[in-house]
Amino acid sequence: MLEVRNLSIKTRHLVFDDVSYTFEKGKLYGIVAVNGSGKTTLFRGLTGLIPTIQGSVLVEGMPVSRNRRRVFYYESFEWLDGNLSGMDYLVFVRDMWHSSVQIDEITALWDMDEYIRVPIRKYSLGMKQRLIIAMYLVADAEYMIMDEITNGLDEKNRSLLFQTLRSLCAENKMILISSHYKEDIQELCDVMLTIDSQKLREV
Amino acid sequence: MSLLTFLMKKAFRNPVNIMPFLLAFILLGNAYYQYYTVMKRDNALAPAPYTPSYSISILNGDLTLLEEDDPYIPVIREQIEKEKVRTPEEENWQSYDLHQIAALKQSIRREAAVFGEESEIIPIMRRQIAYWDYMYRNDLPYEPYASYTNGIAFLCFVFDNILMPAVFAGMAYIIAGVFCSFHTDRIDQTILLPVHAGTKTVSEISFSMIAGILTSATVICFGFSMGCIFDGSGTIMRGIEVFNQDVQYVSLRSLLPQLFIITGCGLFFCTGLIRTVCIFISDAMTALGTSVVLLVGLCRLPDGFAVIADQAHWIPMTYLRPFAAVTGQLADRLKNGSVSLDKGIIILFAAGMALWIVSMISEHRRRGMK
Repeated sequence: MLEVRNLSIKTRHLVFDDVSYTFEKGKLYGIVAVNGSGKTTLFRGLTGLIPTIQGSVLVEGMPVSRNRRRVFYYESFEWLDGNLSGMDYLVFVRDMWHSSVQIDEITALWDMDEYIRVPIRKYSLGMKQRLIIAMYLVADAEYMIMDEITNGLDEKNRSLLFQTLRSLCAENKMILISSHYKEDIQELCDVMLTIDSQKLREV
Repeated sequence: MSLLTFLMKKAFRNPVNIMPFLLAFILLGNAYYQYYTVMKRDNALAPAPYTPSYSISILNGDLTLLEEDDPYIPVIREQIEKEKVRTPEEENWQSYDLHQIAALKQSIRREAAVFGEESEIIPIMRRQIAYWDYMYRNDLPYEPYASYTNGIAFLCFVFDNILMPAVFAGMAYIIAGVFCSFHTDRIDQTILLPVHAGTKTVSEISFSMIAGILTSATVICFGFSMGCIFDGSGTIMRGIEVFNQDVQYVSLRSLLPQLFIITGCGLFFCTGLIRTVCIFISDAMTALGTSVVLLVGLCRLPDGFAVIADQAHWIPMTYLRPFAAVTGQLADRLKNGSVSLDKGIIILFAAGMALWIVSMISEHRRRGMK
């Protein structure tokens, strides 16, 4: 499980105050909150990418900083290096996360074979988003944290994503997904969360 | 290994980052060319060697140019003896050196006879004698003035005055990118190695270490290529010319440690400067352009403005010409005796430290405001 204990995060102002929550494996969590409420900050805090002023995040009882290969989080397609190809990223993720997943199968499933070796600067938004999804699948981490992963996906790919997420949960993985639209992920998720008054609450 | 591969791909597929590597490659190639052609002595641009018979006749003539008790007379006689056993294909650079010394000595005597010992030209000629003596004692094959015709001097000038600051800027740009990328989102997105959330799960320390080692290795290779250009060509450009003091000629290879130290300090300073610039200018190309203009511009400015030249020892960029700084030519060129290697190291280090602190504070404040 991924356990948040008394977590407080401050950036310009206090974003989270004494948040405690436990994310269990095999469940799909959804976060819906208004813009600027701190979804991305929470994800960064969960993965240890920003300093926290109080509290801890434990993955299987160990601090996230010592157990990072169990977690995969890729914040946004904006971070992709346009000079590299999608395949460069997939190979890198596979090797760094010691995954045994076949890249070819993932690229075939997501219809990426035609462009996966092309520099990312030539990708459209949907292509980049599919690459990020492929990275999650290739990493095969036990805890996946996805920030607005449905952005830029067409109807067909969105259905495929939701189907894939359900099957990942069935494989006992924890998935945390965020969206601007409640209707978008409500049916998909086991637990719906929101950010309210610097706290994380179940809806 | 996969991390290293990924890192290399990121570095080498970015045209901005490849620039310093390309420069290093060109200079290495040039060094090899100079080394090969000159050491093989088949450089068509080098002066025609003296044939033994011609050398002997010159050396015999030189004996008459020297005074009877001149210490060079025995070595010239020895040279004449050696010439006799040489084949016509062999070259003898030493006889050329001795001829120069003899001719200069006679010129000094004539100059002193006409204008007295106070003549301004006499110290210059004495310097030249010291130079030829060094060339003779080390049997260096290259005739220095020929270097002005075959482009080495031009290469050195371009290298020390334009390429070196630019390469400094490029290298520092990479280092700044590597070290900033873990802390500053803006720099993450704009400079080399935009370490995204995904790769942050990798140990940051090992990541920066690898990047640092790679950069250092490039810098060291670069340093050696510089050494090859000068030392490998068989001669030094000039010697250590301490301001208002006697001239001393040394092998450039012996100057490499000092060269590396001041190069290291220069990189530290440039990194701090570019780090600071990058924090305030978000666009990568604008930041790089501003940094290069600042570094190259302020490096060259004291040469054109005497007022600045007088205070040039306080400007860190002055010392970004490592060859000139190490050999003492910088002090001579700027007519500023305060410009020295020791001061250069202190100024570069202190300014670098200050810039690093400023950039770290700015970064911290900016992150807090996010």
